[in-house]
Amino acid sequence: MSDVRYTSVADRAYRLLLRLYPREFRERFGGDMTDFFHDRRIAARQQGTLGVARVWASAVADVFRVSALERAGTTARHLRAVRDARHHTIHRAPDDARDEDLMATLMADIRYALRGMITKPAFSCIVLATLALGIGANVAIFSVVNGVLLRPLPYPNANRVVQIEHVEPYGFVSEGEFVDYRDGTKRFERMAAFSQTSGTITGEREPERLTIAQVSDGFFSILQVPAELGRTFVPEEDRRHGFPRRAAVLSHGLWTRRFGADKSIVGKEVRLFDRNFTVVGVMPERFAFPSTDIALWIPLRLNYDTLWTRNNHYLQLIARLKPGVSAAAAQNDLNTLAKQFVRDYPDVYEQTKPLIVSATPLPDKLLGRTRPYLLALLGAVGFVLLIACVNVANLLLARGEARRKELAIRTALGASRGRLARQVLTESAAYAVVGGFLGIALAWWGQHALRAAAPASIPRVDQVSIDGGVLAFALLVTSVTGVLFGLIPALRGTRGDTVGTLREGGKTSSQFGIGRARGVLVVSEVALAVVLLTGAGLMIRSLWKLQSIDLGFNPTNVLAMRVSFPEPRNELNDPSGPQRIIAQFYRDLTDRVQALPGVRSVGAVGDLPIADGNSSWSILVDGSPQVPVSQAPSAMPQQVTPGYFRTMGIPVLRGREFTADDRADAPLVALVNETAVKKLWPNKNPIGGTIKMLDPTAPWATVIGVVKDVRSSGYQEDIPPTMYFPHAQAGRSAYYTPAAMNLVIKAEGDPTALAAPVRQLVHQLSALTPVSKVQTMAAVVGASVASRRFSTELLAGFAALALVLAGIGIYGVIAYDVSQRTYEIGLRMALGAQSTQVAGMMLRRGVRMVALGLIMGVAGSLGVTGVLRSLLVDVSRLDPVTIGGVVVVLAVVAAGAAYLPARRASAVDPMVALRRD
Amino acid sequence: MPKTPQAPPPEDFLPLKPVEFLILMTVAAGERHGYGIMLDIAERTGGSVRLEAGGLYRSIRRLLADKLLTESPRRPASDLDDERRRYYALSPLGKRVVAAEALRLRALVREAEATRIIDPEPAR
Repeated sequence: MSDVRYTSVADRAYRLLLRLYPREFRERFGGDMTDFFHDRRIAARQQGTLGVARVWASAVADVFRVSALERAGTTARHLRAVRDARHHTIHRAPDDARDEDLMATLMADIRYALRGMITKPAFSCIVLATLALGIGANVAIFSVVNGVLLRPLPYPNANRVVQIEHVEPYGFVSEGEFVDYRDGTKRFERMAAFSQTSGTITGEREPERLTIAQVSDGFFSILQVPAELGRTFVPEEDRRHGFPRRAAVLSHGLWTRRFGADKSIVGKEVRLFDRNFTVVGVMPERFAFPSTDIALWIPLRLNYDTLWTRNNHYLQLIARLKPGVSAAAAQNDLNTLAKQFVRDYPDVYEQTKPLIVSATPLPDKLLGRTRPYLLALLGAVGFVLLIACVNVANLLLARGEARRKELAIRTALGASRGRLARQVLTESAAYAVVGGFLGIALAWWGQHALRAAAPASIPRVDQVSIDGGVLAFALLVTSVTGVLFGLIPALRGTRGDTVGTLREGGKTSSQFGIGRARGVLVVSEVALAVVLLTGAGLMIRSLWKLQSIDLGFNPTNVLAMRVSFPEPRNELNDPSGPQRIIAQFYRDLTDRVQALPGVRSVGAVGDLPIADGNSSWSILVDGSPQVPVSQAPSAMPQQVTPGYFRTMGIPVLRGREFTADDRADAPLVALVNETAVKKLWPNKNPIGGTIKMLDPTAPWATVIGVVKDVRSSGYQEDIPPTMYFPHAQAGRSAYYTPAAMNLVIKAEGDPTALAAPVRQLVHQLSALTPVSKVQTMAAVVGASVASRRFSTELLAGFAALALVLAGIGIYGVIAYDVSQRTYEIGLRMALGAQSTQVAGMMLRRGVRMVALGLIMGVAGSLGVTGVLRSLLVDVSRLDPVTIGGVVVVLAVVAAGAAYLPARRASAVDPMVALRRD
Repeated sequence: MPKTPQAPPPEDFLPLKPVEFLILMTVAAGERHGYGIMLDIAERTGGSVRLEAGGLYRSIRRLLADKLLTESPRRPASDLDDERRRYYALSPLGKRVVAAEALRLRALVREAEATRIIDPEPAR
């Protein structure tokens, strides 16, 4: 290099930059180039700072450009050499003696590794495919975990916001309780109440049924999300009196869908509940609280002077904690208040039904349900990666075996063990990196497939993507993978018995050292597979048990839709007028639908089982005198038309069901379910008994029959006592005749074919009635277990993958064993051993490994499946059926995988085997 | 006496890359160091060809490999406050090659003049 000592920083920096050049070029011209740069820099001083800067820029660009050209030239030459030298078994190894230059040896090692990959295409394919599958699955699942769980919610500081509700049987919060909670504790900055309801939007376009949230003052400021267009509500708009103009805030979805993203929407009017509302703002796309269904928000407008009865629980609350206040402290305050309520209002709260209030931080509330499923999947896919690493380590170990001679020669020629280990590690790293890239490509595709197949019940799943965080994870996984499977071959392969290897010509007949390492790997592989299979098996059994729970109705071939008949105007201030119109509408509708071809039966119901929530009303039975709310029994109300039970396949166990004769002016009747009988008429015949709403003016209805219990909320919820009233009579016996009902139709064949004809019938009867939520009951039922089924299917898929990988691993080890011991086998056979004996001998090793693996796996799964406890339904995590099944399946697969190569051992020709060196 | 290998004919090296021709022409006037070559070429072409270190030395390497240039050991440069630089000089072969290239270019220019692409320049 240059003789001149360059003392200036600039020149030294330039010389450092020259390290980008290949060594040869650098040693030859480095000094001259540094001189060149020095001279130019000095000369450019005359032109001031700009001139010097220009020199720097030009010099740096030149270094990058030309060094790349030089290196490409070197690589091109090497690749040409590779192409020419393909058939040579020993490649020209990197020059070991001159390894002071780390950069050069690294580049040489990388070239060597890539060369090795290209010249062994079959081996490389298997390794890369295994790695790609393992890494790809992990990255794909992590992208889902990242997108759903880890990404911050669109609400700033969401963990400082809690949602407050009551535990069953109250469920929601009443207006009185809301005010008392709000005023009774100082731990919250602000508290607001909201309630979800539905309403029909009319106007220029077709009437549409929307889910609407009524929110009290402070709702939007608690969530701290400003409107995208316009503004959110001001306090005046939440007041009941003195503010005539009704405000509404649109969701982004509604604004785009119905109003064509009209930028001048603010100030325009929309028609809801047959009233005009003025649009004051539009929320951004990501804002979806309390649910993604919400189409718009309107003020709650509670009458704080005359609050609704304390017994009417229908609100949910959110509140933002004051800075520095913990959620636990706030929870304590709320608990104290709740206990006080029970003391202060004995007429409202039954002493045996404790009022339990819970304040859940928003992230837990929104994401808490899916979290255990996703984490279980992440764990499962981690296991798959471990198994994949074991397989690749095995393969590399076997490769290492084949190169012992070459490595021994290099050790004899002076290469240090560190140098050799570095080279083997570089090779593993090269595989890991290429496998990582392939894995990311696989994950990109996989993540698309997951997004498409994922049920809507997984929050934010539509926003899952491969972003920076996911790529960082991919990098981490790839590095860890590379280290995991690279370390063992590097350590093993370079521990050299140089003299011994060279003397024997590179092969020994028994390699206990290496064999044991591979055996350990296989045992661990089998154990991991057992754990994964057990987890999947338990989930599958849970799903199966869940789905075999009797729902109480038969969803086959049943179509459901929501018909939202608009409330007729109460012209003469006579409530019975509109109610008669509503009842007549549904009578006509059901008659007409019944007459359609392909319809077996039809009915209508207020709350659709599984899909809709349920309410609970206080009642009196059998002429009991008026009592306060806290002492009255309660039941879930349902308004149904005759034909409902037949359509849903709900058997009438006693008495009769409703008929068309149970009209508005006929004697009031009611049906009850089995649970109601157990609770309200224990050991008595309910038929002929009477039931009425708690309201003193409500009339008595006679019980005329008992129907089977229906799991109205889902597979796992308790069944409430339920009372059914004929729709036509509901105005008298059950407070009001609902105008919006769910129509259910039992079809002869495919129910979806009836959707269009029924919709047409509805519009013929009433053009302004929106028909929404058209779905088959099978879909409704399926949606209730969608998350669980999705993750169980994925888990089963990963378990199957693990099984295949483990099988391949076992096969590989036994096959390799056989190939290594052909000499010994030939010898034994020549000495008189039968072929079956030989096969048995090879099999024994496999059997030992698998058995050990099974034992460790079962022990491991007993420990690990504790994590799944929250997800299991009616299945113990020690379930013997599952564990037994897994052991059998793995034993069979392992036996098959071990048997094939073992059988080949028995086919060895002793003459050929003995002749081999 | 071992036979010295025959030097290849100059025509084998034609046509020269423009950069290489410029470098050889510069060095034909006398030994130069790298920076000096760059300055000379910049002057000759009126500033339109400014070589950078990497490109220059790549070309120099090629010319050295083809034995058109020779290296001189370092010695102080009078125009650079006596700091030592490596010098490059034209080899005999190089002299013949650069001359051959100049002749080739002259023939091309004559052709262009004959076909009236450019106007003939009166001999100076």
